[in-house]
Amino acid sequence: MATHTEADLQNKSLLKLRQLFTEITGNEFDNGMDKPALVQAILVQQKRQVEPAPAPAPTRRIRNKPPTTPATDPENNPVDEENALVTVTCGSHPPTQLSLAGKTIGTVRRELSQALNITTSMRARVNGSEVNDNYVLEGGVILEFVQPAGDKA
Amino acid sequence: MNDTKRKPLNIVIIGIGGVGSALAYKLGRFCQFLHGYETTICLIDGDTYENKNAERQVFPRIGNKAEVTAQEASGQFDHVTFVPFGEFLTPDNIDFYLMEGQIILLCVDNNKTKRLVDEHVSAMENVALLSGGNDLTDGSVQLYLRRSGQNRTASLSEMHEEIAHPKDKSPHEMSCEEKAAESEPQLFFANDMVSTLICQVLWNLVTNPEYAEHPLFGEWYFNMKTGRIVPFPRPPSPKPQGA
Repeated sequence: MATHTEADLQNKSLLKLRQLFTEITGNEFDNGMDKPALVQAILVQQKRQVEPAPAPAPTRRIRNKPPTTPATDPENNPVDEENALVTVTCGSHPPTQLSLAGKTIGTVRRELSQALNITTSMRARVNGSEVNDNYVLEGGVILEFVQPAGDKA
Repeated sequence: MNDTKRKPLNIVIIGIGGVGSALAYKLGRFCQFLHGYETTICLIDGDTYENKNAERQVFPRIGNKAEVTAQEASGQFDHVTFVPFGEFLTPDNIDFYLMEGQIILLCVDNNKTKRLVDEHVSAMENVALLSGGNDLTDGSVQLYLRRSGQNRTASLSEMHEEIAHPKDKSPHEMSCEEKAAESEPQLFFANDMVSTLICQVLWNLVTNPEYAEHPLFGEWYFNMKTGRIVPFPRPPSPKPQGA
């Protein structure tokens, strides 16, 4: 599959970007995803696909539950894309499944900051539990960056 | 209707701005025709209507927001008792205003008051707190529900860092200059959206006993540009992890 640069993507129409993203990820996106968000999401997905499997996390901290399978070397055992999917949500953005297992919250925060308007001050929660930026994601979880409450009334 | 069988429904609206004033009229209409309840709606705000408020609020005269709104709403909905309190909520008067069994609608534009109410509610047995706010074209509503002294949904501070550690001031701590500087553009539609979402949750709390004990969701985000409303479950928080 051809790899697209950010400039390539910026020149494509919104419709084309939606088609492209569906093609790359198999995910259906609705009309709410705007162009910058789609470009960012496509770039993230491409990076995931061309990179080798994620290196072992440097600071694997507390998990929600103990792993159910023996630890493996990710370098030699690429993460199964299906099992690497994490559902990411933030505010009114549509919940989105991305291949993020093995990444830290801090990395995801940086990579998706533009696409989902995630700021450094937003709390991260995995399956409802608050986690810090060193937490390493596992597949199948729901990650929420908690958008601040509306502050005017 | 036999009045002796009517249950009390005590609603408190804190902050009679674009959201709170819209709520007073919407809930007045709802409660006017709500059978089986004796409804009291308390309105709390120390602020005064000014001409600049007319863009987002309906008021027949200049005056204290709580008093003017209560008077106007009483004239429209005579089966509902509106009680105005023309002062800001403070640590000194919160015990007087917020009591067990109420549905508290928090519609203020500062996190310090949100934190004050959140903490107060966290020590109560049975209470529902709905906090709503908006930015220009998006916003959110959160439900903090307590039953039998237990959290049924997460508190405002558990979910929101900016409320847990507020960096702003309550209106009673601010000078007139500071209050004026706080003004930022808002859309009537965003206020209206917040008030409608609050009404939706309140309606469920009042009419659906199962929902009133175990609501499916605890927070709702909306965005007027995308037309999307996203609900989030907000179970009481387990211990923080990875800290």
